[in-house]
Amino acid sequence: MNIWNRFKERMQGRKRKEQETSNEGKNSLDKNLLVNINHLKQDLGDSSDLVIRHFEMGGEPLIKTAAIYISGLVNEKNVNEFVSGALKVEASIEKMTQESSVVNSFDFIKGHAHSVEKVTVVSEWDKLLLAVLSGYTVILVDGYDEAITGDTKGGETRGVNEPSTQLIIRGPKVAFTESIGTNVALIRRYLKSPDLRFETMQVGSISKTDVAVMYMKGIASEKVLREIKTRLNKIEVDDIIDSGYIEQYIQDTSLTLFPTIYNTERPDSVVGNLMEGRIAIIVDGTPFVLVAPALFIQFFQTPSDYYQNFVISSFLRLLRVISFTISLLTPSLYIALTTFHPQMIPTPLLVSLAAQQEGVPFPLFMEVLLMEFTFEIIREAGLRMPRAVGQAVSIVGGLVLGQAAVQAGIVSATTIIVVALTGIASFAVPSYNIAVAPRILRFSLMIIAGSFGLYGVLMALFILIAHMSSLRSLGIPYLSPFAPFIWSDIKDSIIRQPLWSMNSRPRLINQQNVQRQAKSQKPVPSDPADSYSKNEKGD
Amino acid sequence: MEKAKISGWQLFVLMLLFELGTAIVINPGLGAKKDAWLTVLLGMIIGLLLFVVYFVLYRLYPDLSLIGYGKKILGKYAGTVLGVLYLFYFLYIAVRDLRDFGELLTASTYIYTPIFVINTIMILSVAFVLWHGLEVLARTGEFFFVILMMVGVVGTTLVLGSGQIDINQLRPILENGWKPVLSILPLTATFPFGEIIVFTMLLPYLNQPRLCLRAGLSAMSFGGILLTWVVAMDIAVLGIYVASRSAFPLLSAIGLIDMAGLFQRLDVAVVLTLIIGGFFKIAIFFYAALVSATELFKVKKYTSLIFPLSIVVLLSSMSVASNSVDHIKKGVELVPYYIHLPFQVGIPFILLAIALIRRHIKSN
Amino acid sequence: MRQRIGFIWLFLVLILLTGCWDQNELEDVALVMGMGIDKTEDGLYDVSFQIVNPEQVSGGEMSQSSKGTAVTTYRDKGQTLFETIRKISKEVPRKLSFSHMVVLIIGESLAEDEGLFEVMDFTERFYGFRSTATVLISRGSPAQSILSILNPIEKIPAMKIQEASKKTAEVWGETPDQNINDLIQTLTTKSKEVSLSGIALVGDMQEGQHSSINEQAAPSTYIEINGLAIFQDGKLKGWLEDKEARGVSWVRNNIQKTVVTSTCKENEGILAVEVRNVNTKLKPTIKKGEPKITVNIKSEGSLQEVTCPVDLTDPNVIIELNKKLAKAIEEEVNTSVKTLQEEETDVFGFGETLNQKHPKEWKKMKEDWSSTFSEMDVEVNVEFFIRGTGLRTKPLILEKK
Repeated sequence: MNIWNRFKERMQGRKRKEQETSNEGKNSLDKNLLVNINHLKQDLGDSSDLVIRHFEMGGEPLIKTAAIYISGLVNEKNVNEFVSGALKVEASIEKMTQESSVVNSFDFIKGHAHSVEKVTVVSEWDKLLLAVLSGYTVILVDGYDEAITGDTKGGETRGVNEPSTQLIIRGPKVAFTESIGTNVALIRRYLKSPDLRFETMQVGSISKTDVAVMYMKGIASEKVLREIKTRLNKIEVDDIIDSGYIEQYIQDTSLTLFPTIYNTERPDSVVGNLMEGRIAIIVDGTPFVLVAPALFIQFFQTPSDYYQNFVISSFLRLLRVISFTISLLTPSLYIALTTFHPQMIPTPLLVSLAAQQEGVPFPLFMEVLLMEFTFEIIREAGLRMPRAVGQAVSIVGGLVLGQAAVQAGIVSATTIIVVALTGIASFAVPSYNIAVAPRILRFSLMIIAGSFGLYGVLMALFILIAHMSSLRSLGIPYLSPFAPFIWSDIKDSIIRQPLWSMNSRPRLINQQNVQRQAKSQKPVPSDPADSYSKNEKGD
Repeated sequence: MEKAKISGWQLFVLMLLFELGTAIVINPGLGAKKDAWLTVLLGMIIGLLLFVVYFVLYRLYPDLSLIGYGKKILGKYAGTVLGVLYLFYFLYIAVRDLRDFGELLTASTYIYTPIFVINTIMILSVAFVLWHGLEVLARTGEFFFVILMMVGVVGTTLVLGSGQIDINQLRPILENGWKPVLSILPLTATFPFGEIIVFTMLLPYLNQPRLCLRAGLSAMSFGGILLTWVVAMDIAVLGIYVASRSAFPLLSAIGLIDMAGLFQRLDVAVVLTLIIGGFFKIAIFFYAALVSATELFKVKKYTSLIFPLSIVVLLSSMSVASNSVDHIKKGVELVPYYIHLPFQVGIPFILLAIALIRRHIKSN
Repeated sequence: MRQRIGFIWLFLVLILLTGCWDQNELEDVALVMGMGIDKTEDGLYDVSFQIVNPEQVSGGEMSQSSKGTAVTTYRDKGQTLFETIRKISKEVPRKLSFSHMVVLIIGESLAEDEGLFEVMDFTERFYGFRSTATVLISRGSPAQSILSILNPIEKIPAMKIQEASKKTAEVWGETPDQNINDLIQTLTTKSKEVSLSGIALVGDMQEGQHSSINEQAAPSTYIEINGLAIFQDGKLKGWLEDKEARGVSWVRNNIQKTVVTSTCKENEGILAVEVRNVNTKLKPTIKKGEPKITVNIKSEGSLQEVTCPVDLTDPNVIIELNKKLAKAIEEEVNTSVKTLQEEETDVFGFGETLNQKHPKEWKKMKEDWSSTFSEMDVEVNVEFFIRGTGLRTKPLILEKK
């Protein structure tokens, strides 16, 4: 163990050193334009998408300049505006000759570069490289060891679409995109407050991915915010491709099947969470935004729960939790009851089960295990297939494996029902992340049920619940508000109380600025009888 | 010491699960025949008084456990001896409770499964939960408390609904006078109420000490009332003759439920819910033993003791009695009088007396 | 870390190497629905089991194939009941499961000679038994023959027997539906004697065992609930019939619904009343050491059939009829009290009420209760209220001129 670690450290150290030495001494720009351009070409491997446009301007001597950008990453229109604005080839000649004695040409060009955002001057070589690779346009001027960069980011990106993984019936139909700027803007549109803060950092030593931490100042807990930032700063990897990377690097423990960080592609969901004091982490290049801290019950909630009647929402949430339990427990209960405790099954049902079991070649336990496994295969196959083939997969899976297996007497019909029920129930859980947990746990529960019956299942549940209550999401107990029990947070957990009665934000997540709305918001219509009679009189 | 903190509500939940634990299965006080419920109720009142004694000790030494203030009060050597005694006491009761549940399961549903296997699974789960510490135990408790209460409400409704209850079975009250009631009283007062002494090991972890008395008294009274209700229900359903002869009266009573052929033979479900209480009872005694051992032997982390001690508990649970009759007889005739009484009543009273006298001398 | 691995390892070993002691595949289990116990002449138990053939009973696609009987009855002899249960494996290729048993039938001769205590110990102790099974005493024929009769309405005969026992207790009220637990409760009580419903075979046994019986529209062989068996100290003492049996139910407040008939006035014709809401209260009193029980029965019902010319719109007539019906009930109760006092068996539980109200006096009487009971004074007061007269007021017979 120790030797391995030391070996790894040494290897990493060597790598880092090599990189440092290769850049040594060249981290500043040269005064010669051609040297710089050659250097750039060399660094980027003479890549064909690197565009270098040469300009000559001014009187005598001619000032050689060059605009450099990477063709796929920029918005060509912006580039043209930037370049023509800055270099102003025709108009400049006169002015140049007049002023060249007073101002140097570099400042002159810089002074004219207004047409795009974020115009800065860089003098380090790696910053220049990063700018070019991020879609900036760089203007180099001969004779100066500085460069002017302008934000001309663009290129092909996906537009804002409807969400594809978190569908709801009622509510905003907008989802995040891969662009961090768009995503931040989507959130900003909901909260027109100066307290909405976001801090960007770059993670990944090679990918330099933009990661933004977004929170409501004064609502989000400073402690949690600090914790998140430390954890983000600790990440030292080459690349971050999706927010899933970040999630795995910053979660409290990875030795669990349960997700401890929430992810969503819905801006309204993020906004709601921000207003409860949670913190969002937006990663460039993925539409999935992380929200932390996340509680177990949060994965059973959808944004539309808040948009519709509270009774309906409470019922649906309850239903989802029940489905979760069903998908976790049904097969193991089926095995335990039929093979260990048949006395608990009503007589007619038991007789019918026994009749079906007659002639089935496998023990019930094997039968259920086999069918559950088959079902998992069908599900995985159907998920990854193109849509047209996917349907064929489900037809083959459903019809052939189910119907034919029963008719051939290999599997009993009840087993198929049980397996189908678990499958359907696991689809009723709104968050895919948490629906995966029972799929795996189910198998171990089945093995325990097959060996020890209900007693085994109960003991396994003890272990499961103990494990879940030992989890924390950024320090917040995962099973709260149930364990530890927090009465004031029950209002928005497995049930949802009417909006007007939810005066305070969740207590565990948020200790400051608890009040969410004015008290006594219960709608009190003026007496309809009164207005009716008045109207009548008026008529 | 572990850096855990539990809230007043969590203490309440743990105490309630603890009270219901084994007592609901092996009903204390059925020796008093039809007046069993009365004995339980009186036992509860005595138990409440005992808890007040433990509470006063806790207020005198709010940061210390029983072992800790035992040393302070009696001096280093005598205190250590006392601590070791209590360590064995906690271990022994954990062992007995483990055996109780092994017996329950092998007698009711797992006829052919060796009791050793049943106990092994139980102690492994207990060890797993304790591994994560007191906070996790408390949170797990909160979760299962809700389940237990729901099953309790449903079960009671079903028993009432199936029309099995005959109040006349409870009459006449005090058929044979006060004598049998009073003679059983030491049993019901110590089991399960006096056993609350184990919580003296947990009280230092309470985050709001002012809630201690309230949580304790309410948990014990609520638990006592539930136990009284269960005993009375057992007798009203089964009749005293069947109830006092059956090894696990609650099981027999629930087994009679037959609602429209759909809810029937619920005893297996009941056995399992009873295990919930038992689990926590074993876990709390085991935890107390672990904490005492760490304090006595100055071990850094109690987790390193879990594995060896669970093997000790497991093996002792096999050898603590030769058969179920022996086990239950010991539990009714020997343990309450020779073990519970001195440890729950005698020693704490002496400790309190000495502590108060010392205080008095000091202030003068 | 090492310890944690140790835990996991132990767990895996436990699960993989052990387990499955109490596991039974459904196809290896034979569901016993009914059990009959007789005694042979050489003192052995003759036990019969009614076992379900699941394929014949269940609905759905699978059961359409063959036409066998829904149940099979096996029997074997042995010194103890448990012995026969295991011995029967010589005939039945499966393990018997008693968890769904609905009827326990005890042979008349066994109940008479040996009594119930010996038999019931096993039913109470054995883990697999369910104490909600109905207990019946076979009347006139051995328990074994009753179990083997097939039935056209309910595929499983044992369930039919239980249903019949429950239904008749519900709407007719002569015979109570008692399960194992009720029986043991009464057996262990010193202040009450056992009474159990009887069951009898009507017709030819051979014929009833063949599945062709299910094809007859009017089965020639069937079984019926018949009479109330009276016990003393756990031994069968005699039988009560019809109204005598119902007298016991009146006193024990066991009647949910029943039908009482009475003549009206001095005229010819009768009226039938469906009785509901019976409330019986026993009031024990002791005067000079002599116990006395007052039975107060309050009940109400509605007229269902009238064949005598009375004007039902007249409240006075109704009051008159109330009295008549009360009288009829009173007579029923009185005859059964008289019969049982002659038999010296207190199936009413008078002793129990005395115990509850006068525990001190009861202790003195306890020893010699049978004779005290046979001589004690029993007063019966019945009040009856007609609450409804059905859909018509005046009887049809008034229109006949």
